[in-house]
Amino acid sequence: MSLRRFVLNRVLSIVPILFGVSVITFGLVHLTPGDPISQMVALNPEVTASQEAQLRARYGLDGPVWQQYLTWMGNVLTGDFGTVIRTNREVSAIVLARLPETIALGLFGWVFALVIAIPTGIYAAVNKDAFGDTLSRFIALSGISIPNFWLGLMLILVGALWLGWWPVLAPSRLPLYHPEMLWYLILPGLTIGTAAAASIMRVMRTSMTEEMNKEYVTAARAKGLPERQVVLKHVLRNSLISVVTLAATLTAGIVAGSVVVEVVFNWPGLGREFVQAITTREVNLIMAITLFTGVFIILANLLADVLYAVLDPRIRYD
Amino acid sequence: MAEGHNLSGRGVDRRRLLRGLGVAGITGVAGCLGGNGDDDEDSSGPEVSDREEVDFANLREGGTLRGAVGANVASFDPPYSTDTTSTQAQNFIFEQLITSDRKGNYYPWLAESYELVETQDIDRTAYADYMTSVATGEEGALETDEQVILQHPEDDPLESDEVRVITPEQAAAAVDDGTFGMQYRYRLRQGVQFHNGEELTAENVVASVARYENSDVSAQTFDSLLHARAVDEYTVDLFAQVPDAEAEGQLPGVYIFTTEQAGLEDGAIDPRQGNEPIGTGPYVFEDFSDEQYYELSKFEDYWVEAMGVDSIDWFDGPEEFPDGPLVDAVEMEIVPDAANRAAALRNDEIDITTGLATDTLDEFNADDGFTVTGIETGGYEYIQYPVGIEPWGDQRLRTAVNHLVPRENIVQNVLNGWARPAWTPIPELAEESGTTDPEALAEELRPYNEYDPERAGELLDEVGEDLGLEYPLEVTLETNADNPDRVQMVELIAESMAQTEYFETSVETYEWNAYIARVLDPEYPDGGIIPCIGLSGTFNPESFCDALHGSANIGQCCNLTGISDPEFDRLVDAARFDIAVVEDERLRAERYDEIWRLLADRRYSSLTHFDLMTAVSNTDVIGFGIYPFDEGIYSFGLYSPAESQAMWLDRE
Repeated sequence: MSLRRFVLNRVLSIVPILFGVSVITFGLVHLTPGDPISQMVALNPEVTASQEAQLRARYGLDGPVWQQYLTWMGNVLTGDFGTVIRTNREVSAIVLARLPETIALGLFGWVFALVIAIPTGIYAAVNKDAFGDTLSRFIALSGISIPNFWLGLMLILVGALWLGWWPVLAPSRLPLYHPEMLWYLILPGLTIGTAAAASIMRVMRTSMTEEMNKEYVTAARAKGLPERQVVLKHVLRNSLISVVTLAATLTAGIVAGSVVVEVVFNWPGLGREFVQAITTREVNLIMAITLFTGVFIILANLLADVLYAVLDPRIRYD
Repeated sequence: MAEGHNLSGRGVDRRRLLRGLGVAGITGVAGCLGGNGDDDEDSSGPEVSDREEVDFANLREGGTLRGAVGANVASFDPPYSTDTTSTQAQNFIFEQLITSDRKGNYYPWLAESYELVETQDIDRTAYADYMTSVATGEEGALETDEQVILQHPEDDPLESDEVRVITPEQAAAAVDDGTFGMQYRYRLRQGVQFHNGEELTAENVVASVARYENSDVSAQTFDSLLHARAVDEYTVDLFAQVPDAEAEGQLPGVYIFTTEQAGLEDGAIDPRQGNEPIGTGPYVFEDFSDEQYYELSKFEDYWVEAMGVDSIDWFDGPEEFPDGPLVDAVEMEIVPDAANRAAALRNDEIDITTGLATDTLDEFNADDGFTVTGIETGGYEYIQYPVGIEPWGDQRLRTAVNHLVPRENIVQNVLNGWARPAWTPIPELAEESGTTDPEALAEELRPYNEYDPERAGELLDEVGEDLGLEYPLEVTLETNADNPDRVQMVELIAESMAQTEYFETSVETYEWNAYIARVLDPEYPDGGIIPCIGLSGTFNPESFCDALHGSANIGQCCNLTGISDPEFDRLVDAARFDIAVVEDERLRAERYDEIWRLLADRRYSSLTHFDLMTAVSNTDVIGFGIYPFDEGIYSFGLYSPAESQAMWLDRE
């Protein structure tokens, strides 16, 4: 199968996946008790039962679930993701406004993870069982074990309250593209990227260690190639295959992790919006963020597969 | 899904509970804020003031107040927002015909003066001749696009295919014919400008009222208001449906819009919809970033500033009191997490915030770099007994459990003293029209609400014998999981019941949305469960009894266990919608006293405590005074001639 056909197949497979995701998410949201109207009337003794019913009818929340789903899906197919009941604002506008914030945070975390993990993994593999290797494994284990929210809180405590180097609140008045934002991305980026960095580092080390025991490495060394060249040119390339696969898988984790990190750092991204949407049962917003996230994760996996093949031409697209 | 745990076994924080229950001779913590004299004697709660005394001779102008609020502004459009944060933001920008002080006394505001012109002794059936029939849909929804101003009291949309109603046009016809309950006349101040330069006239008021039709807050707007009519350019009449003792505060409860904004679509007064909010208020909208912040700047042509505060005839504040707010600009960050708001305050990123956890309040209160301001508010919490399920129909059983509610321990050990035990069903702010003698009421009702296991035991023995009950009774108490204080409070009550060995109690908690959907389910009262929830009342004493016990509120907010007591319904109605109480405030207070006694005797619910509204500020903030309701905290604190309240910033 050609690369083009492989990509096309995978892109087409997104459709049934997203359909399944939308059905399940829509069903789950509706199985969960409560909607924005019940919140509006919950603490308001002046609202009568008939007024509540009228409000529900006005916002299309009075029909059976399947009917609501079909209406929603029909609108989505025409590019209309609906509005948020509480603010009457277009869902697509909210997602487009919040998406760059989440992408910036995720990208920073992802780059941070790779920049830390790959050199550390190489160092650990080359210096297997040395003190540095033991230390790096300990740090990696800690990185995987520490929950995001706790790490985030500790970073705020140390970085903002004790050292005073960062603000507690995200700099809301700076545009995302402002160079200063790099500084403010450090704490949340570090929080979101730590677990990923730890995982990649461990895989990198294992993979490198395995590769270094293979015959082609022995042969390369026997030919008199410098150790640096053996490691960086031959071993690293082969080791990166599993790392790339893992990195793509971790993209899902980074996207999911952004929910917690954005809440902890008051970062105005899709994750925080998602939490808010769940709290207020804004179905349209929940659905849109779920779909966008789904597309993002599927595309990341697709990219991983393509990279996998580029790194190892022996791999076939079937 | 419910998270359940049985208190007769393990699973609760026993140490904390025992710390609460084991304290011999339960210590009081009542009324430490706001100066409720009675309970101060045995108070051991935090000592904070509701207002910092200042000398206006030293005032400073300028600066930017940096605050943080706990939720996004859902909408800047007053009729299309129901959340506190939105109203808080709107209160900087929009104003109403009247204003109030912290005790609920009303003062003319955009109206220079107002008067009650006429009161007629009618009820809602008087409108029958003006009514038309509208069909009802499933679940009782009325199938009309027009605002239903009032519905014939004898028609039930849940049980009939059509009901008789009055719409705005028919309400106008009724007023034309002289059919109305009350007529209030408001004379507007001349020369009041909106932020866009438009002058306020009576037409703005009429158009603003019309904008509330079919809005998200139409239920509370048109529960009393019948019609608005311009008399001349600067005079407007508001009509009430029936004689209403709350009409003075209720009828003019709309924000006034410019002509253009009054005509905008539903929810369109919002920067996200391309329309910046424009009002007559002291601050002008500057910027808003969804979920992040909003900014306001001082309105240079603010009418009080232009006319001088001395032009307000009821103003009796100090000579040096400023003619307008002193702070130049306001920046409000939107920070949902309370811990983040507290940290930002410590890190000098903001000057003031509210809604912090009680242990955090303790820390700030002990720190000289910060000021904690507090006042008793209208917020209260209650448990409610499943009166329709035996044996809970027996008043003695309910009374017994009420004696097992450890109010003082709840306040002391769960809320760290940041609340006041509810010895009576009304807080200080509603006492003026809600009782003839607050001290006598407290003295009379407090014994009903004291923690008294011995008395509870006697009653339980009596009930057990009469009804042939087998103890222990299995009881489930439930509440929302996302309020840790409330969960601990319910656990404490459950433990208190279980310790008597008459009850085997369990506590279940639900996520907030799941919980409200659960308790508002019409079948909920059949479950035999004791729910706990919190509500916020108003200056109106009715809000501390009707929501909980009115039969019209079964399946709605917040008669959760289906209490239906015709005598109570009649008394509540008679304490508000009756010409006798409109004309005689003392009689009204007497009728409320009757209600409190009835409730103490029949014991359908147990109020546990009244909340304290708190704000924490750094020492740059001078003269901040707190308002008892969240939505008014900042607008009141910045500038309110009704109580000579103005604050400033003491920094370069």
